[in-house]
Amino acid sequence: MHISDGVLPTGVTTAGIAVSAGLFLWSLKGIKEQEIPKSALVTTTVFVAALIHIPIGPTSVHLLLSGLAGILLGRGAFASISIAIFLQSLLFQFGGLTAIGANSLIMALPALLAGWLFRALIGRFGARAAALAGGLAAALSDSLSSLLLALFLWMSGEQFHEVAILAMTSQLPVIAVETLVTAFMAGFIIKVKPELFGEPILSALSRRVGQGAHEAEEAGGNARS
Amino acid sequence: MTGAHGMEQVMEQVPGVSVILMPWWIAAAALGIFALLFCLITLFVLKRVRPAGGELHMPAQIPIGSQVKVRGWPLSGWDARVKIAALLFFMFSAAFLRSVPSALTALVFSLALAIFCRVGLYRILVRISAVSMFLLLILVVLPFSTAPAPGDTVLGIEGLAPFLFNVRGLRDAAVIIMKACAIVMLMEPLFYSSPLSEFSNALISLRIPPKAVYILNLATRYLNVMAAEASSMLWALRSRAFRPSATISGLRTLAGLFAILFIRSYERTQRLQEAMALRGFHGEFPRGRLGRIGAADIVKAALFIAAGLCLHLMDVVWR
Repeated sequence: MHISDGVLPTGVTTAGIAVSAGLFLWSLKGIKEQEIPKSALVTTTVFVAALIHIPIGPTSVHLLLSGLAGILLGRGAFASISIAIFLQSLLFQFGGLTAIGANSLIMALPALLAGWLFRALIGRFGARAAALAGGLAAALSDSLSSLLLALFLWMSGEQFHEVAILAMTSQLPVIAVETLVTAFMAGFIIKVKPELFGEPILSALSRRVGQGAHEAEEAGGNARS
Repeated sequence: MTGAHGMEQVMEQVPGVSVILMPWWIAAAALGIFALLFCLITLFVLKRVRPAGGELHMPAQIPIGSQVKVRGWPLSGWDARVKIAALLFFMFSAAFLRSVPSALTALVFSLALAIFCRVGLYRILVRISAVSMFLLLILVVLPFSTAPAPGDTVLGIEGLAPFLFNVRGLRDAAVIIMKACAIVMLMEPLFYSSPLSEFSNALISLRIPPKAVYILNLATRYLNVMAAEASSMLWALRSRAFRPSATISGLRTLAGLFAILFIRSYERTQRLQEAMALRGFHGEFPRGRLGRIGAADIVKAALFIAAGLCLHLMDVVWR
């Protein structure tokens, strides 16, 4: 759920734009020239994912895939997701253009943490844990997103406290669906095209493979002796 | 606790609150009429907006700003840089309003511009329907969550003490909705009144980092390719009797779809990037030249900036 125009007070809107602009520039610096097409692709994927609705009971939810963006891009995810949010508000009015600072922080800041968590888990447990790490990263990212959404509404005044709680609870089905989808996607991608996860994860994987081979060799050597 | 007790408590705790006690049947009738109206509007919008095909349908074509759709004075021929800056100034001015008269004026101003430029009611309705759930949440919750303060009028319902309907909360919600609609109506004039290439060039001129604008440009170019592919894959799933559901197998299928969609698109972009590198691409697209900013551009911008400032003046006067 994105915050629409006119809801946040002046101070919160301005602070949101200032903080997200700083993070945006930092994130943009982390995108190398040859990574521009991949970042654009992640932007498009986040955008397209929001158009597909999955029915849950009487309502339906749409995917955010911000966790996945964090996993795929790392530091560059903030810029990529912010641009997706900008496009969403320009083309379909998902969220407001004047609330873009807050909305970017809500979606993209947790994506950075998700990327970090995924990298840490893969580095520790290897490729077998990709699906689990992906699921955990998405769960972390979406939970933080709904917390941030509630925080922004909470800061808008005392009368918004109930709105904040309702908005946060309405995100629970999204978190559940997204956790599973990201877990399946991470499991799929690591089998089919692991290079999508980028250099840090590839090197972590090859290190694990190298270690595994070394251990196997040692074990073989021990067995022979 | 009865209703009357609740009212007395409020009157004791916050002096200066005028409490109007309603019989429960009036409240029920009002709620019924509101719910009926809401259902009718939602049905109307959903029927117009959502194409046939159910939840898993998605548009095969996403309307990007490659063609100019919004024309007419003052937008036609307005320098894109000045236009974006002036419209954004007005949007932010509208977003920070706090009183009913100023928000209403902003709404009327935007509506007049939308009519003047022939934006079309349908496109405005589609946009408003996208933010309607959030605004509805605010409209429903805010009157009940605003604590009574001196000078407030509170409607109480007999027999339902905890629910106090604060008219000030309703007013605040109305201000938010009017501001949101005023800004929403300016979105089409902002984006669809110049070609995408001109829009991107203007963004670069307005000190948006070129790298961000290239990502935006590439993303809009991939958008329709990916949407078309996702749409055909969804139809393929449908023809194999796949029904969208939030079950494990349903989500696994959807995740597979997304993953393969991403991988295919990635491979396509890699080929594209290699082809572009062979032709001497260094990460910079050629930029068209923007014309000089003329007096007419400045006059139009001054109009919007003056309108934005007037709104704030009204806000100060009427607050």
